[in-house]
Amino acid sequence: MKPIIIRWSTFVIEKRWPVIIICIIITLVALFGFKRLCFYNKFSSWLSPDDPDLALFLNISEKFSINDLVVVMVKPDGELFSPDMLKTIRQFTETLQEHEEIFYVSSIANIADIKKIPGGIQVDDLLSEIPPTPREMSRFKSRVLPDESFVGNIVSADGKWAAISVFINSQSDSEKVVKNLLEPAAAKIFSGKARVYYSGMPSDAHFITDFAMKDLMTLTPIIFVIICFTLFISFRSLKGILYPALVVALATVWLFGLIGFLNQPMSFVTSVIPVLLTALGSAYGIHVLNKYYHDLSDAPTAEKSSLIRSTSMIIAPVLLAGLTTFIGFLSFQSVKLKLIAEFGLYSSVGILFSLLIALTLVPALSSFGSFSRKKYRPLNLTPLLTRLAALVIRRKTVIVGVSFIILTAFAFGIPLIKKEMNFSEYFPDHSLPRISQQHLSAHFEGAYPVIIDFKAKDCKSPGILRVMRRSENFLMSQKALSLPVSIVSVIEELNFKLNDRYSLPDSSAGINNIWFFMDGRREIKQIVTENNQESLVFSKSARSATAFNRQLTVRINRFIAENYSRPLYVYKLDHIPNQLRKEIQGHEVRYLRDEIQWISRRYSENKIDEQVLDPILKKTLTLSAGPESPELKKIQFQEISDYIGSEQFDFFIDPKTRRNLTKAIGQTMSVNPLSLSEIQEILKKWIPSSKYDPEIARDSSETILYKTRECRQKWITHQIWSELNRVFASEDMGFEKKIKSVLYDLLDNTAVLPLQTIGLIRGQPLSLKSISQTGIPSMLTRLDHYLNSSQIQSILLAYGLTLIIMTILRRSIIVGLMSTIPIIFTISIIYGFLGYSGIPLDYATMMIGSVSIGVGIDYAIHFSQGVTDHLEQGFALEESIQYAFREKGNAILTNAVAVITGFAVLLFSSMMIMRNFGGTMVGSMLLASLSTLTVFPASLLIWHPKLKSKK
Amino acid sequence: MNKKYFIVLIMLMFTSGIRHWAADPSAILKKVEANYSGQNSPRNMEAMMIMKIQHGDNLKVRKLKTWTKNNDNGYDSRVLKFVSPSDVKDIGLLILSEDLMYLYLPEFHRIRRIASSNRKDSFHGSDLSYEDLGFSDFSRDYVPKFLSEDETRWVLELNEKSDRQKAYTKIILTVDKTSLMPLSMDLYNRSGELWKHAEYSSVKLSSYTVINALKMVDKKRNSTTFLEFKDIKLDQNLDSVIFTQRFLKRRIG
Repeated sequence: MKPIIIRWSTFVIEKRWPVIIICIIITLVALFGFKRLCFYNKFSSWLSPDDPDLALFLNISEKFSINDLVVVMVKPDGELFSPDMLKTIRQFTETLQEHEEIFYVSSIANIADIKKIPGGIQVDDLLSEIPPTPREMSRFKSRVLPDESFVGNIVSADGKWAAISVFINSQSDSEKVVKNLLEPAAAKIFSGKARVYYSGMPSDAHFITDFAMKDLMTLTPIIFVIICFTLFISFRSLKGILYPALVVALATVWLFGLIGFLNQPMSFVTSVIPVLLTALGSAYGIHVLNKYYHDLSDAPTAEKSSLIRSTSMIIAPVLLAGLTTFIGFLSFQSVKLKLIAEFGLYSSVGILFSLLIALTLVPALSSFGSFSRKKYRPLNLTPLLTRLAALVIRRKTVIVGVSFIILTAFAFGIPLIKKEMNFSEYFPDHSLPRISQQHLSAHFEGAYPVIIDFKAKDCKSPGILRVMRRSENFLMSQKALSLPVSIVSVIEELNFKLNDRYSLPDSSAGINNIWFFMDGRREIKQIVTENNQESLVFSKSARSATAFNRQLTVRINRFIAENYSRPLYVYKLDHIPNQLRKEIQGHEVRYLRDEIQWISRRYSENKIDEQVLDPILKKTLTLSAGPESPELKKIQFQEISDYIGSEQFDFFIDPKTRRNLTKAIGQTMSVNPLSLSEIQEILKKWIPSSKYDPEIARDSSETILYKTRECRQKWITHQIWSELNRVFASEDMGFEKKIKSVLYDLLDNTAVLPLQTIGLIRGQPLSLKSISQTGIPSMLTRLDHYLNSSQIQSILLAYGLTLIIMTILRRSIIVGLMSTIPIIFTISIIYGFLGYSGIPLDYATMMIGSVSIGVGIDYAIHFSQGVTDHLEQGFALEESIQYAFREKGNAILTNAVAVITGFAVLLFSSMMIMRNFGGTMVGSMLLASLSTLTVFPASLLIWHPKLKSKK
Repeated sequence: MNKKYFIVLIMLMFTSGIRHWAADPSAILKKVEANYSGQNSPRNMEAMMIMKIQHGDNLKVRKLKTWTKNNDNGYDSRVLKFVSPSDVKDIGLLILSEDLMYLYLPEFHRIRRIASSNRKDSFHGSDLSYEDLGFSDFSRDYVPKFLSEDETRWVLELNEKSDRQKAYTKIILTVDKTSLMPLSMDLYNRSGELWKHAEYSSVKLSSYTVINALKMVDKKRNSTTFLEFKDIKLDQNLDSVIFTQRFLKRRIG
């Protein structure tokens, strides 16, 4: 090793000009790489592409363009419901919609508004025309505000805020779309009219990039100035400032130039690297220069041979210190979070560059001129350190005992650590994204997609739709989620508008009839594929906190496991004997009651238990099987009468014949329930033969029969709803509709159950291929999972490698282990502190452990070296420790102050995550240095290990 | 007046008149409209319409029977009955005016009036909007501008009138000089970007030239719809009962 070190030292000093020129060339070339530097903070790029959850998330994004959602919230200076503001929102919506980067925009201007009109429905954009008069505007407002599909989605409940949901095309760079399209368009269109806020992952990513860039531009000069100041205090010479400063400046330029040339986008964590490199990397230059000042002071010119000797002596300790820090950062390569792995790689490369420059350029430059000691007055802490050494020797047992108690007390705080993966939580309190988040929670239902993905042979089949409705109803029971949307709710709503019943048709043909209206609408493409083989139940979470999203993900996964792990079967009840049909419906009651309970959790304060609910639901079946009540018959007769009197009745007959025909049907109904043949006979009797056509008569009879059946189902569901609502006491129309949807399911001909056989009847297996959860909460949970494993892996790896180095260095596993006491003590206290203080473990604070090991172990290396040197000279352990205090203590504390100052700069970061990281690293470095000077020597004194040096 | 001078003057007037007509975009547009759906078009038409919607690998084929009546008020009455596939069979649409339609839903034994002022919506998942289904009265909504011509065609630029809110703000219309029928249209959105491209082909039937195929490409959606009219029957004196709700309920085929 030694010949290599000498050859190296000789080379860099003898060939100083080539060394300097090469450094200049590399620096100039690296500067060109800066042009290519860019940020990319899309969290999906932080996970390994082979992660199955990420694969599903990306697949859904690609197919449905539903995950990259930005909710643009608008608070008008004046009234929201004014012609000018509504026109402005429409202009904004249309402007965005026409860009191919945008998949779909939904706002008060264009949200589908399907309303009933006499004899039909009107399909329009909600704001098909701006209400021209104040009265009409008021009417428009009073129509929009009570509607649950609008409130919390496109307008706030108080009617003072508007939200525009912008779904960015999956092929587009969502962060750039926010920066280059959304923000400029909003600034131009809403300027002077409204305040605009943004929420959602793409806007969060854009803001975090802004903050990271701001940090990069402000913190880097601050740390540089601080380090220069520290160097001035230490060396009081131009060289003393210039050379170590050059080390970190060039290392930073080389590193970022390399990142640029490799076209590697940076994450927000990368912005901390210049600060880190300056704080840590400057130490190498300082050590080299310190050595020169110490060895070569007051010589008229530094002789090359002396310089080579001094350089050779300093290379090993500097390399060792750098190696442990390098290992600390390199340990992040083991983690599955790409942004942390990248950060570790960049930092370790930066450390290597610092080492390289400190051991080449600094000696090369130092060979010019001399080193004057006149002004070299480093901080003298020897009196203090001597007293500290005496105290440690005198109170060694107390120190170790107290330290153990403190460590144990803090260790109990470790399980209390919270985790935070969503970077919307990292913004400062009064920043735009944080305020936006608060407005989102206060006024709207959410911006973070929560998705249940269904794959089936045909998602529009009656059986699959019922399974999807169950999931939709389950999501309804979850707090802080928006009203779920899927093809189920779309079909049910259209059925309600067309046929006055909020329910799923029980035949494919019925579903396709209704679907006719929505086929081709752009928003539908976000919930079902063209081939109908994949469909989504979609909701939005308003809360970004990881803990909430993790719990939500667990609940949804549990729901999927409990409900869909067993195969499901479809029963068609039309031709099943009565007794068996009752049995199937009995099972169906038990299966559907969950849905009623889930729905009621969203709409009512009152709970209903199974003992009350089951008999009411069974009554649905009793009423269905029982005779028709006079009240029902009256309703049915009125419906038939209306039909026969309308233009839709297939026979064009005079009014008198119509009256007679209606009367005849009424008389038959009063005796027995109508049958198809009876109606056909009545028609044949009363329709003039010249106009009678048997085929048309059959169609008309079927229509009449259909209407009587429909009346009966509507009447029964209404009776049951009334009974249930005695418990719920709700006047919410949405609640009534959704409960009735479940009740209609009990009355129709389709039942979906997790039972293969009931009696002798075999159900048809449901063509459901898979049900999976995806969306932002599940991805955050995934990141959370990787954070956990990454944290443990990186700490163990860094600790393991450091222990190996220390063991080799001291040729004793015991001494190796004892050398790590300061870092174990430091890490335990820091993590305990995180738990007690509520500072979350996140992308930055997760690095504290490994970085603390890498940097903190340096103090133990230096101190133990000092002790070993003196032991080898024949001193006793106590004396050796006293010498180590005097010789190494000063350097340890000076270095700690420099590193602590460097990390303290992060307290000025605009991002909470960096402030937390900086603050805890300050604490960590303080603890590492102090424990090296207290707990470590006290432990050595108690256990007396055999200290040896690796020659 | 000198006779020779008089003849030259007449010739000048004549030729300048031709040039004036040829370059008058409003006159060209009026002629196209008259041929397409106005007084020079058939009074009524019955045909089978094949609609193919191609989106990536996914191809949907719809077969519809159509009846069209050319009304004097400028709006066609139209009945569309789905023949296949089976999931939409017997669904019927009766279009009586720009914003009044009736829809028959056979599974629910119901006819529903459908009102929509938003004619920009896609027609049943195709690349055609309800607005595209009819070659509407462009003179009413657009200001034409002469762009160019060659031996066989004229190219007009139609710009939306300031008081209109149509799906397309600008249309580049290419017209066949012989048949006076549209050959193609480039349809631009409100951002001024090309949104759709339509290509027409027409056929001479008795004394009329009628469109028998249309290809519409949606550049944004990256999909194409082909419309083909078969078994075209013109001026069959269609019974007015066809354009009623009662007929809408009839089963076809």
